[in-house]
Amino acid sequence: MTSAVIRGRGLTASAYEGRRPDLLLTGALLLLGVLSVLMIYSASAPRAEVLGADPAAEAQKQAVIVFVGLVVYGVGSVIDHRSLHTAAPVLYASAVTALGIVLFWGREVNSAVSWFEIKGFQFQPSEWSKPAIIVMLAALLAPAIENKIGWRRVFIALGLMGIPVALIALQPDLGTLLAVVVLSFVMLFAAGASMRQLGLLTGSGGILAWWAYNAGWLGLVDERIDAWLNPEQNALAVAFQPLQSQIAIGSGGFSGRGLFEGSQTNLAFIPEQTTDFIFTAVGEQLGFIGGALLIATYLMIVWRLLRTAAAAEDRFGMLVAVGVAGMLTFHVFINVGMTLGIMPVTGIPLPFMSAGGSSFTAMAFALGITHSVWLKRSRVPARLSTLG
Amino acid sequence: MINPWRLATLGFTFLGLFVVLAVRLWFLQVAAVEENTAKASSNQIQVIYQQPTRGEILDANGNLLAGSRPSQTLQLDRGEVTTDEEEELVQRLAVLLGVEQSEIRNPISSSQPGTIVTIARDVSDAVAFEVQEYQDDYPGVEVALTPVRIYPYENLAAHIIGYTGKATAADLERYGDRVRTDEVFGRAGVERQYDNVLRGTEGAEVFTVSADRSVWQFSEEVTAEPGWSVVLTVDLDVSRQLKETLIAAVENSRSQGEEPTGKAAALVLDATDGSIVAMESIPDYDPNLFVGSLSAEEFEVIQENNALLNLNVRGTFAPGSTFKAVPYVVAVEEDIWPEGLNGPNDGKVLEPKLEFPSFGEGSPQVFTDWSPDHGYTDLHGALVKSADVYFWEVALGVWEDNSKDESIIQDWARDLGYGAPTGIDLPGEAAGIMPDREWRERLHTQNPVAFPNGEWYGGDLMNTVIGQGDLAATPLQMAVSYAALVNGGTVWRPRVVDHFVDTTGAVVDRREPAAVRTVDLDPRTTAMLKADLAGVVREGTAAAAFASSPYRDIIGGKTGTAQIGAFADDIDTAWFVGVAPIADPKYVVVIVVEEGGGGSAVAAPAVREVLEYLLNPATAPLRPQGDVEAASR
Repeated sequence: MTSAVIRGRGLTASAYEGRRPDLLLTGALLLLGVLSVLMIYSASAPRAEVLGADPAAEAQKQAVIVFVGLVVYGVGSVIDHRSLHTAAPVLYASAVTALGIVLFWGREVNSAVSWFEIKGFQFQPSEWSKPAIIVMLAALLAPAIENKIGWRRVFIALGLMGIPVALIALQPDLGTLLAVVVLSFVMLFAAGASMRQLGLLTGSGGILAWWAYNAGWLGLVDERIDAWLNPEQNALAVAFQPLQSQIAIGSGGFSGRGLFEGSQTNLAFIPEQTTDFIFTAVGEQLGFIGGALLIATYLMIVWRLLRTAAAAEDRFGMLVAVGVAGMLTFHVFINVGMTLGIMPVTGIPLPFMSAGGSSFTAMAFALGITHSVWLKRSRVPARLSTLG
Repeated sequence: MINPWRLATLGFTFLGLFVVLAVRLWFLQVAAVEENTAKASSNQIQVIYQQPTRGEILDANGNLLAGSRPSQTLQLDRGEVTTDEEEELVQRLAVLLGVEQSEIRNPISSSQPGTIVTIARDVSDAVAFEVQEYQDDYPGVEVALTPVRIYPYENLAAHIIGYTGKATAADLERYGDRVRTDEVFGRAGVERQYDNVLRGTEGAEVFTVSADRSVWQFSEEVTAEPGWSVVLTVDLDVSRQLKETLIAAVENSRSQGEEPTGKAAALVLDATDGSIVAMESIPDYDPNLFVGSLSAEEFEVIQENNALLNLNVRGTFAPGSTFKAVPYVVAVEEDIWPEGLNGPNDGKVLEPKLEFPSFGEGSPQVFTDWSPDHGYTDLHGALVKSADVYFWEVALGVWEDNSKDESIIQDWARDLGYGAPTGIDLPGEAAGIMPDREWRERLHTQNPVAFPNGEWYGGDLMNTVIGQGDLAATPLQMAVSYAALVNGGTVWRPRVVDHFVDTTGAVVDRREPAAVRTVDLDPRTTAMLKADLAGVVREGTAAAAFASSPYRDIIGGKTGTAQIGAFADDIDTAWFVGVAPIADPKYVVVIVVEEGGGGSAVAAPAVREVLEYLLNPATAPLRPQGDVEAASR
């Protein structure tokens, strides 16, 4: 419809080619949504059946989530991202407030207080805080002169990042915390922070992490890192999941065991099989082909996001796109790396694949607003628009 | 808008991270796929093995010689407890059972993690109750009923029955990784010989289990098949009599001023089919000792006494004069007579000393008969009175007659079963030695240091015919050869097992009597030999022993007093082979008392006792064979 309207204004098709919806991005999201429902079904149905529960229940729930997520993506796509620029402080304040409230009224799951539960409907504010922080930081860093940011702005950015990070640390949710830190760093880098500024941030961040680690503030992290480094010695305890996950993925072989045939997944050797370890089910059942294609799909999304950043008509849009790309890459790398045994166990979901509504919708929203940046990109394609 | 360099940096960094994931994925799924597949399946499959019930061993009349009884056993499923819990359990169980902690720790630490280990057998009901009632205090500990082997008659027929024990290195080689902890193997006797039949087929339940070890899916079940029971030819009552007689014989020898070693063997062979009716050997052992754990000291004692050795099949002795039946038969069949004689009924006055030219170098040699005065003797008298000189002359006849094969006597002996295992269905049978020139040369060639002289002389042959020199035979070989000599020439393959029955009592397989070979014997020779064996009992070397026997007239036999060592004046091994009824021989009874003295004084009375028991219908049926199937249940 859009292109027809544009053509109706008498403009040539070629000049507006790029203003069509990003079919690759949208298609990739759709593909992930469908695969998510399928994999959750295959990972949950056999066990549910034995327990006498509805085998399709979890998959049906995910199907609804995917549908809602696609609607959110659509809404995000049509929002003028410049209005988001204006609304950034409100979004940010709401996210911080939610993060604060959850500490008092939240529900504890897996020793972290990160959930609201309202009438059986669960909501995880930390997932939504990520796009909010991206928008806020983009708004903060957008006015800066290209490739130069003053120290003042860097410190404000640090502060804006620090508040939600501190609240997330209190839950505690190390994965989300790291995700926020990393995406903030990526956005500062893209916004043009100098090497000196970035070096200082990295240094002080490192010292802070070292201090927190030694002070025992990071709780489970200690043993998880130990388990990650010495998996065989921790085979029955902390390293059980990643070890079993590697076995499961490995036993999938090149072409996989076939959908619904993943014995490791089905026999609950992989806890959190539909959430954090959903990639294990993919690897076991669909093999190297399936796993590599899934990784390639994420890579394609990231490529589309960076291409959007390059083509964005304003710095705000560019920074949002970079932030979302950073967040997505971080999530995929940490989550898949964890199932493959090259990253320690952190409870962060695989975007658009793990069961759960907060993650899917928040990510879909982030992807949507980036899509909106693409739709409103500058008329003359940027030089680096074909990057990747 | 964005610095191209910074965008490129981000782009390539992100790309690099995805490549790392793909490479790792490749490594796990393509490079290490086999290892991971194996790990995955061992994760998921749990097999619970079911021990089959071991078959029983029954005597010919259905008496239970070896069986199984259920025992309350404490088992620990190591898969259900952590190492810390295990250590706690060891302490708690040690208190509960009142044993040292090491007794519980050892079996656990010597087993594989995740397996089921036996902690204690035959625990009391109180202990079983405690463990089951307070399951929380004893995680992973289960009370199971496991079969324990029992041998109700203890030492009786122990050498035939054998015993069972845990797997040895040899068993592991035989059965490979199918061997489970606690599995028992036959280690001697019938238990070992027929282990494959007795043990049955192991069953298995194969489960697919989930991570918490809960059963996910029942994949496969192979039902354990109980082993077949083995019904022996052995008669328990005869065995009891035989054992008592044997022990008494050793005592009798001692009371006569001899110094027997305490090793003695006795057996009753059915001359009509090769069945072993009874077989006893002392020193002996109680097979129940090997059930459970035998202490090192206990085992040492058993080993030192050679109590595990069945002397009937594994002990070799110089047979002495009992061997003379062989040159007797050869003399008749091959027409070899002492100088100046032409037949069995052609006699002469035998000089007690036989002088003959040296076969090697040096002066003529002199052999001296055990008796100074045999007087006028023909072949019959030679056997009845056990005259060495007569048989020496037979040997010299063979030696000097170039038309005869030098080893003709040994060849006959080998045909009758000497010098090779009889083929009895018991493990570890000895071959014995049937010496001749070839044998002597072979020994010398193989080991010139130990056997410096590889020559074979006429004197060796002369020693051989009277059952001395290098000749060595097992009591079983002696029984088999006598059975053949009196039954018309059939050399039976002796057997202790008659048939097998399954759990329903149906006969599933039968070990038919089988002849190793038939020796071509003239029936007249057999008749003549039987008459002379009867003569031994009636008026010969065994006359005193059988003088008052009511069955004297239907028993035949032959004494043997084997001289041991070079100074053959004081240490004799006593032999007697008895045959009854001599007209139609059924039983061959052999008794050997090592270094027990004279065969007439020690062995003959013992054989008389056994034969009287066998021949008396009041104490035992003449043919101990009931309805086995009915009796075995």
